[in-house]
Amino acid sequence: MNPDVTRRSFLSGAIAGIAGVVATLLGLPAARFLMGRAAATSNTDGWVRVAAADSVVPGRPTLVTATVEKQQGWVAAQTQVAAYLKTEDGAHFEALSNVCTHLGCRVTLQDGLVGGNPGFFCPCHDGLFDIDGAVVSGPVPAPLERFEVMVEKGDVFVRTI
Amino acid sequence: MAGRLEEWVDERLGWPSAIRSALLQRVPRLSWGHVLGSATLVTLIILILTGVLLSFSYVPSPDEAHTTVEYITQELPFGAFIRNLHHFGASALVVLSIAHLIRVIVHGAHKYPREFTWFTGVVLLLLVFAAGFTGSLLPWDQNAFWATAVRMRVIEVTPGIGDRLAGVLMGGEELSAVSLVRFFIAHVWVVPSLIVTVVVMHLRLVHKHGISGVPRRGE
Repeated sequence: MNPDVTRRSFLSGAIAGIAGVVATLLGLPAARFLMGRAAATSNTDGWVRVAAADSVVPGRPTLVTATVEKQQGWVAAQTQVAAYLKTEDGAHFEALSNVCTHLGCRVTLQDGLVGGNPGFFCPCHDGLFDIDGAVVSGPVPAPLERFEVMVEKGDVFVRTI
Repeated sequence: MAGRLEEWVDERLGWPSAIRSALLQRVPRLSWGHVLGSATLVTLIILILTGVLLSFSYVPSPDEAHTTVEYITQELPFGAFIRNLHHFGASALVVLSIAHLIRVIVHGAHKYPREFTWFTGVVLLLLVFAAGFTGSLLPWDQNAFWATAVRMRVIEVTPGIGDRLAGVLMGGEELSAVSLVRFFIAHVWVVPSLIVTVVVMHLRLVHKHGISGVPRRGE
């Protein structure tokens, strides 16, 4: 018998301990519940089929699009994935984003913009990129983003995430 | 150290004294039946917490109500656990409230000077029924819909005001999208705020009058 432990202090401690256990048993699931699927890893690997390899004209960037279904919460939302595909030989591909690095407008390929050659023009603030996506003029801070590309059985896949 | 901190807080906020005065009371001879009131209160707290969690992922519209409930149950981590705590907790609250009421009658604890503790308790029981009634429609499955449809027919035969009462509850002549929103708002705002208000009154009265002990022969 430890004389320092009174019945009251023992019961107070026991009640606090049990309350702590109950709070943990409820609190941890509650926290996971609130984080939802944000904490879960994506089940897709991010590769999206955008085109048949032979549909891309060698030497000239071709705009390709694909629709991706994304599950956010209970809503299955469809988002568009777009990229300019470039190839010289029909076997090796590069993919450039069509989103301007300035403020996110869509760039378009136009002829005769960069020293007589085609270039990517952003209509929002006159941003200009060359055919490799490098900055030529305007307020754009960085070259166009490049996506990973993969060719499998005649289909071109890009990874935009 | 702990004593000085407590004194510092007490001088400024008064919480330690308030907690001591609320918890450290002389109590008469008690029975295990006396835990039913506290058990009811703890169940109510669990229902409020799980209800808040569920409302993060619930949409009260006919298109999405059932989808979101399925999403909570099937997809969200611990979703089934949280929903089932709310579901079975609701049943437990009804059972515990009635058991608490019976205990109070058996011990005669509703008599002078505790009449208003009893009245507020009865109001709370009715509010618990109201919470169950409005909450049971929200899953928006066949069971929820038709059980509520039957209850609305029962309400309609209330003498004099039946049709009007059912119309106000449903926001129209039939159960619809309007009814679902009304039931949702009643379930998450109106009824819970009334319950919390009356619980505070009820607890204040329990504190004021002290706990009534088990009556003994000859008293």
